[in-house]
Amino acid sequence: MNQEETILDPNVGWALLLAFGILWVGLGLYWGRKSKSLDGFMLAGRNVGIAFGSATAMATWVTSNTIMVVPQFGLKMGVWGLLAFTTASFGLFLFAPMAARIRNLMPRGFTSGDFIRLRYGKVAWSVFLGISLFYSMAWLVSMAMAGGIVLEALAGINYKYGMSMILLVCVLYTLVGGLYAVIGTDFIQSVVILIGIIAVAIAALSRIDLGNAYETSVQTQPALFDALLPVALLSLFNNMFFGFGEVFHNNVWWSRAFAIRKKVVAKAFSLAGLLWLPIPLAVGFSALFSNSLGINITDIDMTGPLIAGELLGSAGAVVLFVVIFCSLGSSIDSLLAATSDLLAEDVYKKMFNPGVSDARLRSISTVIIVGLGLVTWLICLPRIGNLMSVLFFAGPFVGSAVWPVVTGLYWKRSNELGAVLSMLCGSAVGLYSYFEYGWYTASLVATIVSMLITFGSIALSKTHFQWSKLNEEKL
Amino acid sequence: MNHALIRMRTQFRTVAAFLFVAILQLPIALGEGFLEPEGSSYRTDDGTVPLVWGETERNLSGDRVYEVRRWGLDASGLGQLVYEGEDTASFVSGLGEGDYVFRIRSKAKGDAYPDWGDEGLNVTVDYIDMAIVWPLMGAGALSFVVLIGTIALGRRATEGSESS
Repeated sequence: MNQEETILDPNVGWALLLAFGILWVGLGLYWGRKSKSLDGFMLAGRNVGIAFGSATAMATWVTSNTIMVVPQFGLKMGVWGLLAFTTASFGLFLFAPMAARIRNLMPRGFTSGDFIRLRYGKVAWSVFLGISLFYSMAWLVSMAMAGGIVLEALAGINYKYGMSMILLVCVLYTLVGGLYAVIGTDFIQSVVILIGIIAVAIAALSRIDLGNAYETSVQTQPALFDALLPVALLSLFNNMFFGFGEVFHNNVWWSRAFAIRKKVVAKAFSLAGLLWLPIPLAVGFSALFSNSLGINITDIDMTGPLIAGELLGSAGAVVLFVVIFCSLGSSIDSLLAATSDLLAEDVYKKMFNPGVSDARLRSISTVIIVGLGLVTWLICLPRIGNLMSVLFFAGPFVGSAVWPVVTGLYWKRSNELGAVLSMLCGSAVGLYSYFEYGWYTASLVATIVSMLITFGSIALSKTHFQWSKLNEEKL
Repeated sequence: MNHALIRMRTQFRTVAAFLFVAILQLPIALGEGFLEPEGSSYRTDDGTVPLVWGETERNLSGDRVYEVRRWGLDASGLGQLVYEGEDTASFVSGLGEGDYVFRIRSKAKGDAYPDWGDEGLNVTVDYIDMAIVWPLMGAGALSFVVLIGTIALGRRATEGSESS
């Protein structure tokens, strides 16, 4: 296929974009009728069941990065690269018991920032907020960029128009419906994603002669099948700790822990992890054989769309278009909602206006959602870096937050000084490792450094934290 | 005499036509190279090389065909085909550790390729040292086990209070 050709007619692309855009905004308006209170808007009334709960966790974790970056992992790092990406599901498995603990300790909690502030104090809270907001913006930017890139690759829609349209749709339905709309659309999107990915994987499998493709690939790209490929071995652990950091610290997951019913919250996250586990393999395996199939990858960011288009033709491209649009929507809306909660609750209310009414805070939230959308749009307008570099630059920061969160939930001796130092030193050493050795070491190094400092501070600590202090309502 | 003159004239025309075609091909053969990576050598730590050899606008009409091949430094012969077609970029991956030379040539559709030039892109694949990889992996595995242990033991220790 010539790099200038697109798989779908641009008119078909625009029609799909408009149809799904109208559908999501319409559903947002429908579900938004329920979100009358602040609890409703931010946390869907704290009464989400296991079906919607697991669907929203799974759909949120199937980001555009899963669809777009997994084939890149396969193309660059082979079999180990694909396995490395599946380790991101471990984050959901391990967060399951933590979510139950969070619900128990903070029955009226709102954000992950609340936890850090009450558990460790304001200094740790400030550092944590900085990390969390930086990561959230990197995630948002990488997803909006992915949206623009994929629309351009599949349907020839100009990057700027496609990226703007996706952001606009997500901002609109998050704005009108709050977390009710986010979780409701996530449910539909998760069903579409699962069906679409299974269809794409089956169609790809039926078109690849695995025996021949393997033999050719081993000849031309031997490193992809090398069991001791250094970069892939390191990315296995790096990706796993990056995933832990993303899930454990980010308010996207904490807001779901607060929103899902206490009795089913652990099961919902475990089920989401189980549903998510095979997705990277299904999405990315064909990238291992792109060379032997004669598919020329002209731009690393377009690996997935180019392979799908070549293997599956227009029908496959339509399915992929819909799957990617759903995965983009399910993640961008969640991130917009959760980050606006963090800014409204932790920054505006806790730092500037503690006496603010719920109604006023809700309108502040809507302003923040629009603002976040606008800032993301401005950052994405010039296409900066590739998707992997944008995303993995945030790795050391989130990796350094793993241990303060985990020990903060379970160990009374975990303390503020240890939390602050582990986040700062973990991020700094992780960043050094990013530039000195490569992105595939950054989260791993940050997590290890953070662990050593956390454990050292606990060993020297005389802190004996009272868990009841986390229940702000009782206080 | 006339016959000899006619033969000479025909031979002269043939030689002139050959020289004309050769001169036209010369800039293409000499000027062929990669726009990216810049320079004559490139070092990678993950076995990948993003090759770009022309602006996308340059070949919009699709009137040129490109051939990219790679050679190991110690190898001669035809080398290994990396790409042949109308695209003006190719992402190469899965290279084992070692040194390679990438070369490119092009032709108008229907014409023959010129000979390979001597110039090429020298690529060195140098993966991160295993002496760094193993300790990092060991520390990662240890951190993973301790993390699971912390959550599992913490869960057991707090189970009573959570069920109440």
